[in-house]
Amino acid sequence: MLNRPKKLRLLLAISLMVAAGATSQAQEKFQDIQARVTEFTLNNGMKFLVLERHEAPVASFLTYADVGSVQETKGITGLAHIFEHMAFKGTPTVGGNDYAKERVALDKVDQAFYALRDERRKGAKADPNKLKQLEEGFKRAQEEAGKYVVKNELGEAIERAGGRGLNAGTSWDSTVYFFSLPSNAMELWFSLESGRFLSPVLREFYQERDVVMEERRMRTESQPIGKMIEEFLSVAYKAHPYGEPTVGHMSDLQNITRADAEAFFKKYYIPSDLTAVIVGDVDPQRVRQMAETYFGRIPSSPKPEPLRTVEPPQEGERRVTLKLQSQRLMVIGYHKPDINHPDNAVYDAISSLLSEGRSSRLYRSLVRDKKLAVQAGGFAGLPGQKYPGLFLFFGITAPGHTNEEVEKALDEEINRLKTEPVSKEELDGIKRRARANLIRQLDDNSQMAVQLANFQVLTGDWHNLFKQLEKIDALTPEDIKRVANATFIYNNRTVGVIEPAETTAAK
Amino acid sequence: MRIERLSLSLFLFFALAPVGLAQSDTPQQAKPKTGTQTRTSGAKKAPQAAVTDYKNLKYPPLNEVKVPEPARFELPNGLVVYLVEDRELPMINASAMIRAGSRWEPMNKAGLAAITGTVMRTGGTASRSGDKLDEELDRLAAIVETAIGDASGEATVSVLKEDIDKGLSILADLLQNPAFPEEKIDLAKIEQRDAIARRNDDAGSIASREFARVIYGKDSAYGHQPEYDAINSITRADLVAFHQQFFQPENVVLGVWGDFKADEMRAKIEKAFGGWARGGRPKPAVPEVEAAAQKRGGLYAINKDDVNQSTVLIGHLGGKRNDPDFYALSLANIVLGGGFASRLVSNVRTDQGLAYAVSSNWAADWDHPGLFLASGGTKSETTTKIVNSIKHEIEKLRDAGVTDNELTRAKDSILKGFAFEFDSTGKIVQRLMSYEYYGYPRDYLQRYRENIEKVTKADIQRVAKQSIQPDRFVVLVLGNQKDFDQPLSSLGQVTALDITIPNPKTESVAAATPESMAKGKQILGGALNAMGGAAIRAVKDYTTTANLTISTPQGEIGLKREVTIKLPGKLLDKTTLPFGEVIQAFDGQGAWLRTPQGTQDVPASQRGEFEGLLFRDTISLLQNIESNNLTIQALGPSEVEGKPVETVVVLDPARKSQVKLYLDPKTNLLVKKSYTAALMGAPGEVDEIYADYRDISGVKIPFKTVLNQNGKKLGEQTVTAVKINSGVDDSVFKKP
Repeated sequence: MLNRPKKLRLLLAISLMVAAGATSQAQEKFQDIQARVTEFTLNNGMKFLVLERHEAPVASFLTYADVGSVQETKGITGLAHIFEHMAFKGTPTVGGNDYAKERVALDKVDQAFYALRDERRKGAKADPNKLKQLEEGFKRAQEEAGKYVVKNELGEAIERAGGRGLNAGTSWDSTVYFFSLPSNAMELWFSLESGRFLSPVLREFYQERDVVMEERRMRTESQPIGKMIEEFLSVAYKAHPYGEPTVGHMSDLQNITRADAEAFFKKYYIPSDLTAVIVGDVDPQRVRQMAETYFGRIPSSPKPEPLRTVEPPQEGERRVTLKLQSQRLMVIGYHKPDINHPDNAVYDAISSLLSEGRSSRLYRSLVRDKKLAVQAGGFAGLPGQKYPGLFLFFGITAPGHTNEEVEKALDEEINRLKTEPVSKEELDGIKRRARANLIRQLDDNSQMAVQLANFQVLTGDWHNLFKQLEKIDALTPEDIKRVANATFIYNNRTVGVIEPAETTAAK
Repeated sequence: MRIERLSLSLFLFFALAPVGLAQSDTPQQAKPKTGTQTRTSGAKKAPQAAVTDYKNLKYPPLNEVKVPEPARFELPNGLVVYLVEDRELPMINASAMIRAGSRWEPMNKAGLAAITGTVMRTGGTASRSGDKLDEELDRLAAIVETAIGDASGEATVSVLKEDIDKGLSILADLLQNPAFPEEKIDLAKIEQRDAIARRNDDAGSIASREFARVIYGKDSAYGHQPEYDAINSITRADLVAFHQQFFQPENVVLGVWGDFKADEMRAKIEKAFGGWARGGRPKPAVPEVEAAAQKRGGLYAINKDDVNQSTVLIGHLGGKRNDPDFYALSLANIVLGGGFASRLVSNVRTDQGLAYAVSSNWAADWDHPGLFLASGGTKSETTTKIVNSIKHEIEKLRDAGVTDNELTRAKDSILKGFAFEFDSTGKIVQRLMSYEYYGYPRDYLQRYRENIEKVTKADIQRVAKQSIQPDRFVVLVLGNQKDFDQPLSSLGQVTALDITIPNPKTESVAAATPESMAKGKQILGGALNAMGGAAIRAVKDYTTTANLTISTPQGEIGLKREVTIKLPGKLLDKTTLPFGEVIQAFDGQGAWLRTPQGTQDVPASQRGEFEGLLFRDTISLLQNIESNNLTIQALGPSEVEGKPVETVVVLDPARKSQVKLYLDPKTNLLVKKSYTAALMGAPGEVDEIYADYRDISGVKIPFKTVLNQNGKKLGEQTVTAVKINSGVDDSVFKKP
């Protein structure tokens, strides 16, 4: 029987061997993937990444526009997202049957809207009869313009080709457009996608604006967590647009015009701010030819001035409490640097330590032992990573317990990070999980497209998807302690809370 | 994306389509075309002109679909396995489907299936504590999860390939030997109570849940939901019984895919699962959907005053995935509301700007009718407008069918994208597992494809008229009624739904205290004296002969039964059934069964039933009051059939079995006994209610017993004779 120190050493040696084995196999895999990526840039500055994967004759396509709600100012909040919706309306020839007539009709719709809006702005002094007339005029103008519309032709074309997963999304940092196709139909993506960024026609604008308002009602106004997060972010940020809602304020939405959307597109959707990523059963040479043919048509444009405003350091704790028809939950946010800061990997490691798996710190402490929460975690990435974002802790408070108890328990765990060095075992687990998590994504085309696009645009080099593992591998307990002490401090803290509203009727 | 991040982030990614917009629902599998893949030529071509009209595009032929063909084999114990190699990543995945589900749990224990599924994982096994397992898995970056849903249970493993032996061993252990420790059950109950408390916080969840409950029936297998009382009443014994009832190898389909060699993996699986003994229980029958589910049409309203957007659901009971009309209905649904080019999206969303989320779904289920549903969300002020708009689109489809163009597009969206059915090995394996589990043919996907191809416009017109019937629509509207454009009553007679969460009536059984234990012993001591005292202590064996009437779905059955018990632990049961005599016996170690067809051993997994029966025997319990083996606890006063009783709960030494005794405080006689057992197939709460006590050699024996299960009367027993201490020989219990 080996004595204890010897046994320990032997176990350590075995675990290292196992880890090394895993590492080298994974390493091979990562190198193999990287070798299958081709990249090129067109003359107009648009960048392409192509990752070949021939397991099935399908491919996923993604266009990442380095444009998000951070580009908005007061009065046009929600515009980036509105444009995303409009990018599905087509071009002069896709989605419309007579553009010469249609453009005239669309201008008439705009004029009708301006007249209506101007009368409405008179408020109590508005003439009710005139309002009614203008409303009817606006409706008629839209019906007229509608005659030239071939409804949802873009979506239909993709469905006809057997496309899947058609959608798009807007966040603070970016707008992404994606779908997958059987790989032999690749040219369809080139044709449609280049068209929508070469000459989009913003038809059915005012109806789509109504759709976006419904989206705001669904995700924010009629949704307790959505409401709370919007309030929380507005308090966590006092200057930078990360504090504004991507879906926009309702009053801005009600007044945004088609001209606003066109101006936004012209200013920000320039080819040097577009990155396309294609993952799947494709031939990179053919991709390049088609890219030149289709996207090469987009003329270069000067880069717009980058965002000026930097969120100043927070001067004191901020809190916002909402009383809603909802059970309790809470979030605590601390400002952290952006994704390109040398310490970025430390935050990912802290997130893994705190919330990945049932042996994670927050699960053990808040859920298992103290039973204060049914879920608790901490993570980076909101609102975005291009600019300094937040490290967010959250707790879903268990029935019969208070948010105060959860906050106290979270604070105890945060304090541990600042005072106790992380154990080697925990750190090894973090590193191994980071590797395994990446491996698990490699056989999903659309997931890989998202990851490659994010790393390419946010960090300037898609290789960082793999290099980040090296950064995590190099982390020490001192790094975590240092970053925790620098970040999780009183002045840097914002707390958002949902308390149940007192109701008269039984819930 | 990790779960916790998902729940918050989902609200911050503003998308074109709501997550989960109904896409064409394609069941999965196709004729395997093994083949080499042909790559497109890499030769440089002359630059081509941009084709601006996409309709003029010409595509090269699709590269052949490489379909890995999973191998299927069956272990001697009935476990079915699907295996396929996939060397792409250094990982191995395993997924087990188990024939268990909340549709088989007793209504008064709603939540039992979910809790059992949770604690199977969190509680670990006898050899691996849940906490140690959590650490081990996190350190290895391995993922093992278990859950039980409504129609099936699932256990999944994802490991780096070098950890496969450990992964398989853990999976086999969790499936067979879950420990179900109390502290993890408590945690799972907290989770369930939290879910109940939060279930009215989100408009969309409320609406879809209540819609299903209206149609299926709120107390039905498919419509019931956990409440506080049910959660509080669930005990460890319930989990053990549920697990025992359903987790047997004949009820499991296992799929494994990843970086391994097939013959080596087969050997590993045989090693890990081969020792799991057959359970021998019959397959649980699929609960029927009540006939009344077809007739629950009407207008239902839920008022929610903190929203400015209404959620509207319209539909009725639907069908199954293998109904002859399923294919035509799927295509009809694509045209109506499945996807961006659908009528609902075009007309309700794009044209009128009434909604962001609007769609329809012919949500057929595998082995019981699913739901047809069209839904949309609109601001309060256009609520009745959207109801009418959606109804209008449905009626248009029924009246005029679809155009050639629409039919072709709908078919193309499925058929042209068929390659996606094979874009992941996991998808391929799990599809075959579902077919196996639900009894669908292995080539179902190919048949599906062929059936889709065959659908005509006339078919769609016919099925739309037949299967989508506006006069039986359930229309559910959730919203802030004071702001509606028109009162809901303008649409018809309104039934208001009360979604108030019922407060708990009973608390969960508190932990035993010295006081409650002393009281419990005292009460049972009183019963011992009342029912015979020394005469009870003197009982060594007794034989009861009785007539039994049992209620079954086929009607009432009359039986004769003779049970001989030799204390402490032998039992012989002779029951005369219409087709002959059945004898079961347990001699303390082994059990056997004899029918007119022959004699066989009872599997080890079912011996627990005999042990439970002997543990619960009244005379045995009373004899053992003073032993240190049993935990006896007074629970306080309650009522049986309106009369006051004192309640005592007794736990067996292994803390596997529990029985509640209800005693008359005046006579000290046992009025009722309740416990969990699997009678007539599914586990449930069983009550025995006693009456007509008669004295036999100094011992008071109830001559009448009424047997209830889950609150419904199951049968009645009338004793005809009792013999005490007739000197029963041990040989009587031995297998002939």
